[in-house]
Amino acid sequence: MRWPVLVMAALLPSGVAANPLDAFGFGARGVGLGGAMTALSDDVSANYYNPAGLATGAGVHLELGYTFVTPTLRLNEADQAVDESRGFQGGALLGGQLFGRRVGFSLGLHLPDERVSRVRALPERQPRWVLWDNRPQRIVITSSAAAEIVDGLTLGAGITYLANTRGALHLEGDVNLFDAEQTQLVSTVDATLASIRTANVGLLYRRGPWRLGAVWRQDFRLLLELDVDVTGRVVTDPENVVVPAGRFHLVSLNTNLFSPQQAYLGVAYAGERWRFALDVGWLDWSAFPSPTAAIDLELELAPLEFSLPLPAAPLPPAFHDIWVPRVGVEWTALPGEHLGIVLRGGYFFEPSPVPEQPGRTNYVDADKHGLGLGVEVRYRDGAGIFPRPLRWGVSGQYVHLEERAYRKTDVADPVGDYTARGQSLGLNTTLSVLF
Amino acid sequence: MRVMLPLLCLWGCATGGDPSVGGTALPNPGYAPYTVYAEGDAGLTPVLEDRPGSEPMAYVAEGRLTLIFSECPTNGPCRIMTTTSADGITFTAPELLAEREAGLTDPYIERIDGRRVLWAVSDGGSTLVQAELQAGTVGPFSVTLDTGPFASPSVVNGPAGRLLFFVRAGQLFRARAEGEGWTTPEPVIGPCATEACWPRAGVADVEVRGSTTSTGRRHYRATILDAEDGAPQVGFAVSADGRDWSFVTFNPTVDLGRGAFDGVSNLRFDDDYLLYFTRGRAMPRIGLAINSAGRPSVEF
Repeated sequence: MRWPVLVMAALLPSGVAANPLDAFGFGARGVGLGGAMTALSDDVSANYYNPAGLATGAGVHLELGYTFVTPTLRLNEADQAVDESRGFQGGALLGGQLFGRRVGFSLGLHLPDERVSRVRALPERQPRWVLWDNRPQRIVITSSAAAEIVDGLTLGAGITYLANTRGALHLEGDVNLFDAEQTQLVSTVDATLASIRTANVGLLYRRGPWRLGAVWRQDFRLLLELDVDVTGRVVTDPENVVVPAGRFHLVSLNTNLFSPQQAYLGVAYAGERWRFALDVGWLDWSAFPSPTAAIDLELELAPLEFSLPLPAAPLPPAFHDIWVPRVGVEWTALPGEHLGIVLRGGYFFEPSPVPEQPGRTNYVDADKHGLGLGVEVRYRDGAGIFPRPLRWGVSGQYVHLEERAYRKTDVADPVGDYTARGQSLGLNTTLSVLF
Repeated sequence: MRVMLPLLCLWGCATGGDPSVGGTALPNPGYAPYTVYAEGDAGLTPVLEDRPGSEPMAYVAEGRLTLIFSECPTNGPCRIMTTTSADGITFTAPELLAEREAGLTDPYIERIDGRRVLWAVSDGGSTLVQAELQAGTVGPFSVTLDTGPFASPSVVNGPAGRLLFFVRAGQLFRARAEGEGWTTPEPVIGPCATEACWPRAGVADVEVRGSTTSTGRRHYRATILDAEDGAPQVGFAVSADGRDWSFVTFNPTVDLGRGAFDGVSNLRFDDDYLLYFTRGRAMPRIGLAINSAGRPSVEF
């Protein structure tokens, strides 16, 4: 009875973007291993790293955790006070067998405790840490299912739903040129959160201690479309109509959030006490659209002669694709029956997809080196309340952003040259309860 | 219970929240915005109160801002005065820095090889003179050029060498140091031709300084007072060689209001950019406009 319910839960629309996870990882194990989890993930974090890993265990697996990341990002050595990212992470995994094959179903959650999402469209000229401002400020709810399709080979898939925002304001009536109190406008507001779907699909092949994994994550972009339409007459008094059919129409279209299509290939060796993992990922940042609002204006006030200058169209950002290597190692330092300790370490290098900014735009980013360290304590309850060990993991992450100099072609550019560098410190803790 | 405690702890950690904004202390090259310094409801407050003064030139020495300017007493030739300030607003009582029988106006301090050289216009604008400035004492003047008229001289050691700039007939001229002398001056900024450009009426006063960006690039930076009658405005231009100038997109960026203005001097002082200028002709006073937006990103 519970299987159909979980299958439906896995396939039902749920949640929004996976961006905080792209930026900072999911769960203490993933953070400690530098994100090299494509071939190793077998817990709730597999919702993100590789859903095929969900069909490798058995029983019920509950996780509860918290993540905290504080970036210090500087322009010309001045801290830009970029927001922290912090929130609850967790979920549930149910693994078992169905028709003689391993299956797994899971729900994963990242719930920021400051804001569920943020929209911020900045002027194109204003310097901004483009991959750090809106991107981590997002709720994530993802559900996945996986099944073993032949011996040793599992296939997993997850679906997430995101919401585009569309708002329209329509005003209609008379505008009195000389007496504002005589202006009469009737307004209607229409706001829609239209859902869009994104998917991720993973494969995992296991043979002896070796694991080979692959995952593909679909790109997504959230749009913010604002439409303001004012129609009516312009009068000096009810009898004297200056403009019989005036209209002001503004449409603003903004890509609020973008996450690139990405594919990771991972290989891992999972021995008795040592586990090694290597991942290589491709991220399609060349599809990144301009985050600056594209604005279209129309003004009709005939017979009066007015015109509005149109803002310049946003320039294409021209980001480029990147390849990201990740390595991780895990060692069971204390394999005790009642008390176990696992140590972890990991590293990744993420080159910046952002090109030089010699002109009007000021998208700031830099190459990143990430280092993860973690420890997990496994404790078996002697009283037998829990049939399997409790696991409590804590991982820290340090990301160093190399110094980068931005130079302008125009020596009189209103923003001018600047240097960028920074770091971020993160902490992730996860408590796992297995039944 | 043993499970619930860590769970409660984790949940408790997640209940905080401190929504901040980000994007503070952005780079500011000092082109805008400037606010004219005024105390209370007064329009413009002269920094030297009732003391007449014109053609200011400001620089930083030993952590204090030093302001030199022309003073033209009714019973004698114009001379150069000096005063200092810790904040750029409140100054010590001005003292005489240099005088010459033929008069001295339009002072400018050149920094060269760790020394300071005082430049000025003399003989009613027909000559450019210079003298060493050491420990607040000015040495004997020598005539450098006598092919005036000259106004607003600047001498800058920049990426294209040692250059002399001065204003003549609404244009900025440039000459390059060559041996013991200077190349023939050539006009480099003047009235522009099209309707939308700036400065349409040419330049009334220009100060050129060497500047360094936060990535280490060196340029010549010009603070320009245009020659529009009645309401001149200030803008900026930057050049790598002193000959080809790039104008800031939003020029003119500083509106000083209506009136007669002259003699602009712009510098970075701590976390602000300060713009000193002269207001009025018969009884000239030195005013100040301040730019405190963002974090200064250009040294000059």
